[in-house]
Amino acid sequence: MRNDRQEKQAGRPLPFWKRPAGKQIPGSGTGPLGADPEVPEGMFYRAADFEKEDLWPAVSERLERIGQPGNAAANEEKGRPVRPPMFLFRPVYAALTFLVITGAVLLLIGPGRNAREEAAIVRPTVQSRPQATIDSAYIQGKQARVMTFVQPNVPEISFFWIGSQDN
Amino acid sequence: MEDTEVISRCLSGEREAFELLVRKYQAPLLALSANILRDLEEARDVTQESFTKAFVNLGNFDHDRSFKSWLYSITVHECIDRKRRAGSFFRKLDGLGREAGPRPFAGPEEAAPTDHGLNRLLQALSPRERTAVSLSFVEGYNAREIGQVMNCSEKTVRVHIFRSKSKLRRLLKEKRYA
Repeated sequence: MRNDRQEKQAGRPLPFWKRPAGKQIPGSGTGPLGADPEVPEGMFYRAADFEKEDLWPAVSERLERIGQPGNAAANEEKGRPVRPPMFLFRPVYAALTFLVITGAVLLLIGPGRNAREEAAIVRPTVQSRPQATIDSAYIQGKQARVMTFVQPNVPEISFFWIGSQDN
Repeated sequence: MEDTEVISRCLSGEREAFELLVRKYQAPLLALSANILRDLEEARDVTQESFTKAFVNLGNFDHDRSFKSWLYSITVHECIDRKRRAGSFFRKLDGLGREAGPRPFAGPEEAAPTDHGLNRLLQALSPRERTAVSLSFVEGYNAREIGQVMNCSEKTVRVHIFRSKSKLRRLLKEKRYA
């Protein structure tokens, strides 16, 4: 792979990201970058932009709270405290996990048990079980069969169908 | 003074020695985090946090490795983590009503050589792409070194850089000829 100098020697324009800031128009290979008001001189922050910054006071303040360096290593030697999985700390995941687990418990245990208890209350005896009877009747001069379902706490339901014997 | 010597002094309990490391690396580290985050206040905070983490984990530092790369690695992960957390649902809810988008520079005293045009284009890149591009173009790192910093393979780094270049090229073209 050729380096920048070799590229220059080959007479090819450098790709725009390798060109010195403020010298070239991206993509064209000619003209000063500053000539185009839409294209600024720099693209990235450089260390020189932050020479006046002094972070030591703030960092020092943070370090005051920590103590000696290498505390992490000491913690590892002692054995770090066991923490629950990180996803449980994320509220959405925690809420979803809670809902899924609660829902599963309710579905599997709660309704089944209640239904059994309810059944024991509603149908304590043989007499209260649902019954079906079939009778004969004449409807509009034709013989019909009437099936009636009777069960506790439910309105009586009847079906009938007209036979074809008399037709 | 060599970094390893300073680290040894720090580990022997001389906390003030760490000041030398902070003063040596604060500017490049700030530039790196500013390039990834595109928010100077956030970049300052991340840089301070990175130094703090480095101090805490100084005992785990592998002396065969470059301290600068190790520090960069901590900063990059902190930046990406910060970006990820900033994109979370609750953080977005928390930020409702505030001014949207990053706040690159606060005042004229903070010279902002990149705070327009292309700077905005860079926001079209993902944090990982910005990291790879920034380390490549600003620091002059090669794919292997970037891979060590970003904790990924050389191939992944090349993909990040290729995609970044393609995106930037396309966006520049749109901007130029629209």
